[in-house]
Amino acid sequence: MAPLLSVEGLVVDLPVRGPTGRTHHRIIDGVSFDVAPGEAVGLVGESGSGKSLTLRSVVRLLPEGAEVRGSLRFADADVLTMNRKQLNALRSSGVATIFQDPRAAVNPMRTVGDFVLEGPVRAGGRNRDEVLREALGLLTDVGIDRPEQRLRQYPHELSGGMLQRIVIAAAILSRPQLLLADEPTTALDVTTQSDVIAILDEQRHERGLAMVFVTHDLDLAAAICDRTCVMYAGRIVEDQLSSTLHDAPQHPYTAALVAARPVLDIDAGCELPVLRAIRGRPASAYEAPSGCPFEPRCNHAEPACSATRPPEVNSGCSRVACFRASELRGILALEVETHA
Amino acid sequence: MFRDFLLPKVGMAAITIFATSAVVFGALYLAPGDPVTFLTKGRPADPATIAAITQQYHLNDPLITRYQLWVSGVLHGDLGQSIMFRQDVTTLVGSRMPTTLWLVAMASVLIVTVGIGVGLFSALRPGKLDDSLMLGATLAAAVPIFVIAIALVSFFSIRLGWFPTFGSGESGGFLDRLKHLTLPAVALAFAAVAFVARITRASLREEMDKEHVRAARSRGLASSDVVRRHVVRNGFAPIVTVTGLTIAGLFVGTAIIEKAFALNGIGGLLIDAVSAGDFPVVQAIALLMVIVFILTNLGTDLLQHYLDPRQRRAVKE
Repeated sequence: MAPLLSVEGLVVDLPVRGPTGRTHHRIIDGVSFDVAPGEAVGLVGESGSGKSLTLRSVVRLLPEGAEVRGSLRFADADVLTMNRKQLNALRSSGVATIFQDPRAAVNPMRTVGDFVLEGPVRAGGRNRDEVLREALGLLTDVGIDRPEQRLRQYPHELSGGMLQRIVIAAAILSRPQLLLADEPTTALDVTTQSDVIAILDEQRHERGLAMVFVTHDLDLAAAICDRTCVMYAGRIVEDQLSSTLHDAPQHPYTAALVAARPVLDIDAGCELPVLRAIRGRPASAYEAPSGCPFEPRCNHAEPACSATRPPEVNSGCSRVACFRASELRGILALEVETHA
Repeated sequence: MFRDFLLPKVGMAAITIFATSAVVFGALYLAPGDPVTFLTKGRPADPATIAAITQQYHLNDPLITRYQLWVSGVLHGDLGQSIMFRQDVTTLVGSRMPTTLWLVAMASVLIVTVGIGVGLFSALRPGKLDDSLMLGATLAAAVPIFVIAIALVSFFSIRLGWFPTFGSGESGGFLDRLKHLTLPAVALAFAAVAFVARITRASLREEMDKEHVRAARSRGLASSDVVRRHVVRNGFAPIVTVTGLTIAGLFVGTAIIEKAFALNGIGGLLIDAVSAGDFPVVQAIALLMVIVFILTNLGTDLLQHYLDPRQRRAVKE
């Protein structure tokens, strides 16, 4: 099947005002991935790994002065060469974005109804009454009671969880083929997180929507994504089926991330679990060493690792960028197993 | 709405006006010089004259009694007698009010249209022109008001002969007045226009970087819709506040401008009255300026309240 979204060799440089005038910092350094229709792909990694920016690049929602190279195709159309009008058409009906914090993403000065209807009516050019009817149904579907009243209210009068459900409903209302979700639960109360995720997952399956899901929560990615791409320093270091990622990580970074998750061990009694943090701090693409970007923090690094960039190697339905991937396979599996 | 919002706001404004009236009244008695010396022009006067003056201005009564007398007079529309002009202060100030009001109104129009206009343009079109506009605004805001006045007169009135150099043209018609007051209004508005332009630009720029604006863009809204519905609408709150306060502050600026252009307004009158020690006039004008300032502020608050739903609802709860 032809992919719905195809990203190839994506490079994004962001402008920075430095002491010596304007320069560019590389944030995304050659990212490639495909999303098939109806498929959910997770992008995970630490802060600054470029996952959110990768997501925003898909609809070219980048800061002023950003330089983008590579290829970005959605439904066989070249996104990077689209004009304003084509881009707006793509945003209003092809791809919908769900942001991290619904409080920040919904205009506080306008009513919720204004927010919900604005997309399909103003940008999509659809009939207002028809959209309104559909919206009321959708809001009920995502668990909003008294939807008519909610639409007349202002964002600050609703809870974050409720608002995020409304954002999800508004995204679906534009009848997209692809959902981009940028850590949609990070800003929410823990108790509402699972509700919102469940609703997102349910709506997505019901409508057969493809999704790119950005998160730093490995378990969450594994739970709702078919595939997970692990990002480090603006690159994808591993791309694997979510179902096997936890048990058989192929990249030392993935293994370290899996091992770093706090796991509550009931059998261990009152003892607090030991958190196995990854030493060092995450690097951005522009400050990464010329060899493997993870080499300075890697427990399995060899001298050869700092010499050149490890290429991405495909094997079956997975992909990894590590020189020692094949020899480390057993060791990494053991590393995560002793943890769990 | 009325009980929870309007009433407290108006009440607070009234209390503020009342409190400042005491300050305005009291402050003048801290200033050196007394009306007797002014009226007798320093010449030795016979005791009967001094007694008469003392009697007329209640100079022997305690301060609090004089304040009470003054306040009750003010409430009845009687602001006392001008020492300088031997005329009712109410009539005196009233006859000069239109010129000042015209001046301030024209300056306000300039501030709102040019200031906000330039700010809007700069915010939406980043680039060389925006940079130079903002540099110009910084310079303009730094030039003292009387320097502007002199520069405008020497160029537009003397060299080009487009506008008269002095006078408020109150005897002529509407157009004559407009012509006479154009340069003064420009001079008065000059720095304020620059200031409002800067604030407008900063506020809109800040709003443009907000996540909800990015979210609106992500939904494929046309740029004009995004700017109108999300950037301008949201960024307007600080602009309204600053513009309101700036306009309220213009009344004080009229003192210098009216002197520079020899206009017959209350600002010029204030300066004359201060140098002449004509305390009833100074008190009346100072109080008037305070009241205008407070009322403008109140108006800004009300507008703000209308503009921001969060404030509206917060009151309801």
